[in-house]
Amino acid sequence: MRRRNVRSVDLLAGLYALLVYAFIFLPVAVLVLFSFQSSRFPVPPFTGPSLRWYEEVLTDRRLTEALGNSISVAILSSAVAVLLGFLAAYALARYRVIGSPLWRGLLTAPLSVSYLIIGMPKPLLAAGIGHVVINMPLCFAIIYSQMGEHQANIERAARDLGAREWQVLTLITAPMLWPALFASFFLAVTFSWDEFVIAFLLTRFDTTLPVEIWALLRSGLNPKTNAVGSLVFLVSIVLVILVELAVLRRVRR
Amino acid sequence: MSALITVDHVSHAFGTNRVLDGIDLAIEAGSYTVLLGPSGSGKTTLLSVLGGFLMPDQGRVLLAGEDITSMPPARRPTATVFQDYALFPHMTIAANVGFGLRMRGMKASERREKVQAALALVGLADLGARKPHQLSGGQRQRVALARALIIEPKALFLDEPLGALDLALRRQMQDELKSTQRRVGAAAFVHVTHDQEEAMALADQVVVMNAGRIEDAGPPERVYARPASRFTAAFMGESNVIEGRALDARDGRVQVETPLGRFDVAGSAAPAAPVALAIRPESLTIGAAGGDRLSLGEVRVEEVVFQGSFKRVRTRTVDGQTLLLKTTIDIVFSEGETISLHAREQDLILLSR
Repeated sequence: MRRRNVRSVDLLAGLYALLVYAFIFLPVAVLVLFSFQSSRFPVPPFTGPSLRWYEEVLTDRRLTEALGNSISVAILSSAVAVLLGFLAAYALARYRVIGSPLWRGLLTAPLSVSYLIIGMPKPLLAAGIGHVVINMPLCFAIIYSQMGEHQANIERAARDLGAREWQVLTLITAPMLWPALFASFFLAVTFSWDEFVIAFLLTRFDTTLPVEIWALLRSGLNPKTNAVGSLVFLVSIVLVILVELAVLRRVRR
Repeated sequence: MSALITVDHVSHAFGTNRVLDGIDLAIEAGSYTVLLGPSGSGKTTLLSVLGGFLMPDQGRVLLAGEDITSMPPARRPTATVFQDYALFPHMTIAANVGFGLRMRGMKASERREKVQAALALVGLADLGARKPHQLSGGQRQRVALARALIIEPKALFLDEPLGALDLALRRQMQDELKSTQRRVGAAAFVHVTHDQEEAMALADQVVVMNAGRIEDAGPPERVYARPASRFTAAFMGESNVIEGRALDARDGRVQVETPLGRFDVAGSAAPAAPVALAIRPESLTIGAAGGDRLSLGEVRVEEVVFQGSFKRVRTRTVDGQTLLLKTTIDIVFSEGETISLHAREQDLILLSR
């Protein structure tokens, strides 16, 4: 009797989990499925599979340019965000700074500030700077959390053996924090890759992929948007998996 | 001859907590000094001052006559072995050991030979290609030692180097440390520990610390046999401390009145000053008085613990004072039995602090 109860509870829990995952992933699955549609409308019935819309995406100059813009903005802004976050974390973790809690608060504040407030009137570069502003607090928080007293002792040992400050940073601290740097970089890339509001408000002719997709959507429903969406989703998933691997490797060690 | 390192009246406080209080100390080249004390006694803080990781509020540190008080660790001709070893986790063992030479601008090809020699010195010649996490605790300790010794420091500072190891390995590494120090020769080793056995086994000079002050400093044999204070007597090995009062002091002899009787011992004290007599448990004997043996009266046996090579007997006097003694294992006691205790006059240690 008891056994049967447990079993039915397990069954219900399993069903519930299935529904939750379906709720999250079904739209994505549908999006990806209809990106392979061979007819003109991304609605049932499914007429594929065909790579026709992918071909169309990759031959559309506006889209590929936006793709290139997105990639360069994401990589450059994330690299700057990681560098600034790392240096800020190092300073606040290793030196006694007057008003340290205040500085930490100010550094992480943009995480909770509405994106709309951050604005400046210059195209792609402005979007890049905007992404640095929103991603730097995240990078700072991740890297700062990984700087413990044990690492401080290792840095002391390096100084004791004659290392200068820049040598400690480049030969000891950065390599030691490699998983945190790696994770924050790819997380920042993911955020920058998907970011719409800042890019929309700050760019005009040179724009990033999310803005271009929005423009595409305005001209009506089209399997091309599905194809672009699938590509964006693929890149995001790959980045998230890379982050997970970096973080998990760290935990296991 | 002047000492290699002179600590000149060093004091330091963390907030209102005075962790070092007027420390004066001399460390000779080629000697092995052990800073011994309970946690919070300031021994690790003193080591940080010597290594250059902490600048004291007051006082100076001289190395070979030069004031190094405010010199950063990188520029000091000294090296520190940290308690957690602080090996570089992302580098191989060979790269760890060679790091100090690399920072001195030595080329990789020249380093290789020296790194091999340093690894051989600590018995790890084959492990150069491994990473720190692939090594055992004892091996990591040896790597830390090799990494510090390769830069040929004038002084090597070791912060509880054996603290993370189990007892058997500790004793083995202790012997290795001592023989390494003999082979290195010129470098002075300064070693922090709270383990008095470790201190006695390693030290040429033991520095007993308590509450930021030096209680006693000297060769371990002297510190054990004639401790300078009640704290030292209790911390360096076990002692029976019998409180008393000085009656009369002249010509380097003091009459001491204690609950166990009146004793005439070597030393000096102000008349009527509160003093104590310390007696090591192994100095107490049982049986008849006579010869040079002084009677300490009768005691009741409360507990007998067999410890392998000796028996540890806890007894109590009629006044309620507990006296510990160590005896050979062939003597049979029954608990509750009354025995008479004796000690030689030279084993009664006068403590005026």
